[in-house]
Amino acid sequence: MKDCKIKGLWLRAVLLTAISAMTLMASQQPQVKQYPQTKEYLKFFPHTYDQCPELPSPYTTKGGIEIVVAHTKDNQFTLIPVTVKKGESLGYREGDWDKILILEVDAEDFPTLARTGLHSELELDHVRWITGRSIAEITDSGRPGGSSGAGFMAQEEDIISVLKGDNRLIKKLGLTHPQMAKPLFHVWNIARWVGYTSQSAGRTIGSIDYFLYNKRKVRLITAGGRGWQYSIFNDEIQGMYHLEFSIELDEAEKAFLQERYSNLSNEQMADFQKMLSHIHTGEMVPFYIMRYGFYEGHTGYRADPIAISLIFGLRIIEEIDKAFEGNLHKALTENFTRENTSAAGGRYEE
Amino acid sequence: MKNKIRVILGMILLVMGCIKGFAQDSRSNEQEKVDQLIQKFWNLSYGEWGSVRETFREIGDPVLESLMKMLRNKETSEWSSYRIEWHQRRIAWALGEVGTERAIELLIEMIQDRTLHDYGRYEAAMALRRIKSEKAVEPLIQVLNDKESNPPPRFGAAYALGAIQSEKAIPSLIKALDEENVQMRMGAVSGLGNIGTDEAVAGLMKALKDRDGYIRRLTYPYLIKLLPEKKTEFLIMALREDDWGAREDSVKALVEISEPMFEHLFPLLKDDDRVVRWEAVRILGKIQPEKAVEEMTEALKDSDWMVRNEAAVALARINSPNVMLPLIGLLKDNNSYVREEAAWILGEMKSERAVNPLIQALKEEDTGWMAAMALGKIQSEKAVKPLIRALKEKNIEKRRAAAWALEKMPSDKAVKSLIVALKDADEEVRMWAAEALKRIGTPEAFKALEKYRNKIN
Repeated sequence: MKDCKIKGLWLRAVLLTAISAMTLMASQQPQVKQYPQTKEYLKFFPHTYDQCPELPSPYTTKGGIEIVVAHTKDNQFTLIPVTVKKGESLGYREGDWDKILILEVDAEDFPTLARTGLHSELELDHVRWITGRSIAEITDSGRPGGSSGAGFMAQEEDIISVLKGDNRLIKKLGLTHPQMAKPLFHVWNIARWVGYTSQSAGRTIGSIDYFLYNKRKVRLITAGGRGWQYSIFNDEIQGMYHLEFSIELDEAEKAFLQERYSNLSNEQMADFQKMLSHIHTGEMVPFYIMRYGFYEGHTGYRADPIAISLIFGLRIIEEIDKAFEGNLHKALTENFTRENTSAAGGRYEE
Repeated sequence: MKNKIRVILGMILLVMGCIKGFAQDSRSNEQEKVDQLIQKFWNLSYGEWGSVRETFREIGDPVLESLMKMLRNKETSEWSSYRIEWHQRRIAWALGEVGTERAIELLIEMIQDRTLHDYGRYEAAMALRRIKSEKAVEPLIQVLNDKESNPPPRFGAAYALGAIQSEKAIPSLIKALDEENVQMRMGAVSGLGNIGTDEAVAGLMKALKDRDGYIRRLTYPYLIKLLPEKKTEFLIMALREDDWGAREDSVKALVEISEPMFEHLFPLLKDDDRVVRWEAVRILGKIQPEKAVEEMTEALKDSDWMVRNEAAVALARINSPNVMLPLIGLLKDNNSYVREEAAWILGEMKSERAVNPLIQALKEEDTGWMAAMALGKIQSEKAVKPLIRALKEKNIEKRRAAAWALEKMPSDKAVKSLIVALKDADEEVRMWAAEALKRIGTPEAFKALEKYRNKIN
């Protein structure tokens, strides 16, 4: 756990639950929607179904409600509303209840990110402050032992090298930052919805076995609380929870990796597979991805874009490997230093 | 006579009976009040305990018996450790609110009782900390020294001794600074800091050498409070800390002191430690950078990027002619970092006066791209031709920046070159060229754009 400042943890947890509940109630009502195929009505968690509902997951209703199908530990299926929309508030910091806008992008510092969903490298090279805070200050506060013990980036990384490194990864994958943020928001909204309803339903997040996402079974390992973590940017984003989830790689995927990366030792291969199939992060990260294209550097809280794309079925392993031309292991493990993300010496230069 | 005596005795007995009955009524009323309070208190969550504070104080001693009965309730042995902890903490807190001599005795019994939960004992120490009774000093010192006990009651005792400000506790508190447990050392620092005598200060100086940055961070504010004449010295010392929190606290405090700090900060700009140099620039930038223009400009030449970045940001915020002239000179500096930062600041200042020097700087191979972006921000017509030329250079960064700048200052003159740039090998040059053509919006530009988009799709 990050050794961040714990301030009235329980009080805040209660506050957060209450606020989340209000937010969800406001944003997700009604809880019952028409089932598209059978015209029956969809009932959300804690309601369960014996059979897996015939819906893609994620699924968006005509009314714009986004839903994922989940499987419970008592072998039932359930539907969880996870809508991500502009202006939805999280009600985090006392008194600033409506300031965290999920789909807000930092357009002032990164106009191209706001316009296209990807950073311009030129803008990243040019920027000297973000949210009015110097990049040196953001980097100092984001390194291990700064505002968080674990750090938001590795010691040899800085905020620009990390933004640039991840922007290149996303570009290689043919995706955008908002596309990457969305499934993470969905995970966070699963935790929020189940957390909210658990008070009345007596079923906690622990009752969820996995949820389906683009045909992948994503196992939610934890969505538990930790101490408060303040943002390294001059914004209102704060963290309170762990989000940990993973998929099982199938035999074909494992065989593919074994064949392509036969030079790796068994231990390295096991780590490699885990890095591809497992993410431990916090709920600050989807907001960071959406707003700044920031996934955290190489720390224990990084939501690696390559893993996001595989876990949530945005790309299959062959596509990912092709994008990195056989250098997938390096792309996952190498830190983003100034040297290897500079325009001249970039690893992933066109 | 005998009858008289009988009557008097009878009356006395009657009066006594009345008094007894009244006392019994009064006692049962009192017991009812106690029961009601206890029942209410046990239903409150931690954050709500304060709501019954006054009632405990009003009732006083009569509530103690019930509290102690609850503490010694044998059923609790069947409970979970968590439930026991909060049961005992509740009792200790309530005793502390009653605060009478008898309550103090019971709290002393609680902190000494090793059979109780560690945090039940800790809460008892915290209650004694609020009461600040001299009577508790010896028992608290005993608990602090009791290495057979776990840390919670011991560091609780350290906090309490600090609040009571007992000098007798100083040797034990100084000894506690050597303990392995970090909370023990935290408690010791707090205790010494609150006692505040010369001997305690000597202990705090020892704590400044603690291996844990957090302990050192806690120590500075006490030393600053106790030795105000050395405030600056301590704050500057804290700037050298490897502990981030200690440095952050120091920066905030130094910024608050503001201008009188200048003479102390200037020498730090030449410090061997890059972090110290950076923090000094950061503080100057937050105080009144306009009074340190020369030093900030010099800091642009620092070997560390963080120092340069901080100086550039501070200078850009000043945005005054006094800053501009030296910066224009720096566009010709030997050091490429300096040229780059100078061009960035001039771009942020958006002054026409910088256009010609920036056009010259555009020719630089390594930093010309930043000059191009600065020209784009200033949006001077004079820069269009040189930017068009830059669009054709081999240097990718310069081509990107030139296309970006031409998007900011759309000009018909650039259309042909931008159309050519749509075929550039670099994706970002093509993107900015397309954006520029979209903004220029002539029929020729739109036609080229349509063709380009069809090709992409």
